[in-house]
Amino acid sequence: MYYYIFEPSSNYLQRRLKEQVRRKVGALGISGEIASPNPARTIEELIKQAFTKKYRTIVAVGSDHFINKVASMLVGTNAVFGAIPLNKKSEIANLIKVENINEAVLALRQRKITPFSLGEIVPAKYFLTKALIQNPRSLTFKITVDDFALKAQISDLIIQRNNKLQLTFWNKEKAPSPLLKIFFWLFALKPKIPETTTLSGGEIILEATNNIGIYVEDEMLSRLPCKLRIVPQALQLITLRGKL
Amino acid sequence: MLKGPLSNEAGTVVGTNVKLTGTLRDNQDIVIYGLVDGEVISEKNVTVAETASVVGPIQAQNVIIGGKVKGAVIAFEKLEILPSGKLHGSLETKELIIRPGATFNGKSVMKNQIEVKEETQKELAGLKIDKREKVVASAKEKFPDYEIEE
Repeated sequence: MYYYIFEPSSNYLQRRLKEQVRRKVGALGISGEIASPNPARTIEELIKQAFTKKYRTIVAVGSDHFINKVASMLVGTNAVFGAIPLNKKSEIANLIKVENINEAVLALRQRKITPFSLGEIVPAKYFLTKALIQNPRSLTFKITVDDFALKAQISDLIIQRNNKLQLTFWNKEKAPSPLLKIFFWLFALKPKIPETTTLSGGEIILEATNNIGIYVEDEMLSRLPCKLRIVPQALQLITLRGKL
Repeated sequence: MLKGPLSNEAGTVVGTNVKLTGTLRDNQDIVIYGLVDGEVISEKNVTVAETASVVGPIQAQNVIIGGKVKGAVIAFEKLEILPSGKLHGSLETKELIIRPGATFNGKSVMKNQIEVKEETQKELAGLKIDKREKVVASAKEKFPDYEIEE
C-alpha cells in the first residue's frame, strides 16, 4: 500500500499535474492514502503517521526540492521510497530513469527497488541530487578528501553523490571570456588549460575564508566549514525497469 | 541555476592553480594539470600535463608525462615521456617511449624483471619457510643478475 505525500500546489498547472497523477495511480491500481504538508502537519509528522498506519512505501510527488526533503527523512528507516517528479529537467527523473509522469507511475507499479547512496552534510542533512556552493568572487578553499588535502581559489563547487562523493569545482574568474570562447569556436580551437577539477572520495571536509552556505535545491542546509560523506545504501528507491 | 563545465566522466582531474598534498587514488584515469605533492595511484592511466608538477611516486597501467615529475614511476604497461616532460627518478615499465626533447634522470627497469619480482614475492608470502629456499633458488636460476628479496 502506498502513502502519497503531495507538495502543496503553488499554481494552477501544478494542481492539474497532481490531478493527473491521482487519476493515473488509480487507473493502475496503486492508489493509496494522499496527504499534503501544511503548517499544522510537517512532512516528518506525515511520515510518522504513515508508519503508524503500517504503510511501508512512501511516494513523494512534486519538485526535486520537495522530493529531496521527503527522501532525507526516510534515511535510517526500512521504508521504500518512490518519487513522481513534476518539474521539467528534473534530476530526480534522471535518477529513477523516467522521462515523464506516465513512466514515473509505471515505475511505482513495477516496483523495482534499487538501493541508493545518499550524500550527507554532517550531521544528518541528506541530499539525493547535488549540493552547491556559489560565490560571485573566488575564495581560498581548503578541501580534505579521504587521503589528501588541497588548496585552490574556487568560485563554484558542486558535490554529487554516486558510489562516492564526486567533487567538481572551478574558478570562473579564470574562465575564458565570452569573446574568447567565440574566438575558440570560430577557429575550432580548444582552450589550452582546463580549469575544472574533478575528484571523488568517501568523505570531504570543506573550509573556506568565508562562512558561505552550502545549498541543496536552493535551500541552504549548512555553512562552511562542513563535512560531507557518502551514506551507502541509505535509501530503497523505486526505479523504472530497464528499457530495450 | 548553476551552470558550469560539469564532468560526467569517471576519473580525477586536478585543474591548474590547485595544489594537492597526500595520496591521490582512483580506479579510473587521473589527469593532472596542477601541483601534486604525494603519491598518485590509478588502476588505469595517469597523465601529467605540461603545466603539472608531481613530487612523489606514480603508479598506473599507463603513464604519460608532459610536465615535471620527481619520484619513482611504475607503469605496468607503458610509460611515455613527451618532449615537454621531465622525469627525475626511477622508472619501471614494460614499454618505454622517450620523445626527443624529453628529460630523464634516473634508473630504468623493464617489465620482465618486475614480473619475476612480483611473482616471487607472492609465492614467498604464501609458502612456509622450508619451501622458500626452493622458490628463491629457482628464481635465481632464471635471472642470475637480479636480486630476489627474501
